[in-house]
Amino acid sequence: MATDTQTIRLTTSDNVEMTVERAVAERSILIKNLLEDLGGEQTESIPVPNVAEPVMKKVIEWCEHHKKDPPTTQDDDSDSRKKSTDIDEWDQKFMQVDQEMLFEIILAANYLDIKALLDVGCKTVANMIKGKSPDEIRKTFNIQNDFTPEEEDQIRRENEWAEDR
Amino acid sequence: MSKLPPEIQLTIIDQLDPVGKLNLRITSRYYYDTIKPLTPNELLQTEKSDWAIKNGLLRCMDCKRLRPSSCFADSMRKGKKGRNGLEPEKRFCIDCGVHPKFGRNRYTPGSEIEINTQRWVICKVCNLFMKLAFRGTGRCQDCFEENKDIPRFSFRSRRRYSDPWEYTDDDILEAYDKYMWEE
Repeated sequence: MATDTQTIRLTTSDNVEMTVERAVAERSILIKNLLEDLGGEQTESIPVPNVAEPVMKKVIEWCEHHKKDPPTTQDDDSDSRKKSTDIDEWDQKFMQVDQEMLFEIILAANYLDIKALLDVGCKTVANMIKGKSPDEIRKTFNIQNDFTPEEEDQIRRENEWAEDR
Repeated sequence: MSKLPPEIQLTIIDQLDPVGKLNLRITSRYYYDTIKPLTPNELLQTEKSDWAIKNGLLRCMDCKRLRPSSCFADSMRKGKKGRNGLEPEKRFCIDCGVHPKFGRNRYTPGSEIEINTQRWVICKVCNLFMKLAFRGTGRCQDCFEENKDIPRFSFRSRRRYSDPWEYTDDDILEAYDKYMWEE
């Protein structure tokens, strides 16, 4: 296809211009729809105001690796997505970033509408929660324990197992 | 994590296993309100997970929570109602057995309950949950030693802990006499 070698330009929130292969950028449904709507040759740079450069780089790295995956259809939701929490090896390595970056990637995937990347991000966070005690979860995600003493008492009664851990 | 928009947080919660949900649920008020308590089916599933087995947790169907196995009578921990039994949905803990929800048939005065190979009973005399004196006596050790007799109409004083109206049978009989037969 002729479109494979076509490139487009993106401007990130910190005003950095990036040149990306069109096929790669089209992993993002947002950009894909945008390009379709505009039609024809796109010479102007597309602004992406919600994503900063380092995050955009990560996202594009992911898109490049997954360039050949079959495109996700709109309604294959629920079933195949929820089925497993396995993440393939490359994605796992890709997601080994600090928490701030991980959340930024999730937000970017959400904004750019890249379902598969969003899923991988959510699964990574879910895996971080699994196997941790409530206290450990609080520490990991910096969650404030805002229960009143009475509520805490009630929760302790409801969840006796949480006591000695 | 609270920086993420709610719909993404929900996606994350959807990806969690029941154990993860339980643990996240009690970290803060927000998650306590957001995450629904586990459904009976999820509880059943949790009960068979490695985590529950490691911590010796079983589920009570009356109070719908996971409790340490020391809270259950022996018959609830083994056999039919045990972890891998055929009727785990019929299991209830000792507390729920002694103080049943209104309308449920659980332990009654005189029924002997084996806990950790020791026999307990709801004493037919004093109506307290105590250690059984001897098999078949239906009385606690104290009442048996003092040789107290079982009151003849002991069924009347049966404990009705969770009765929302807190009527005793005597109240009902009295009302019955008063309103039905006065004329």
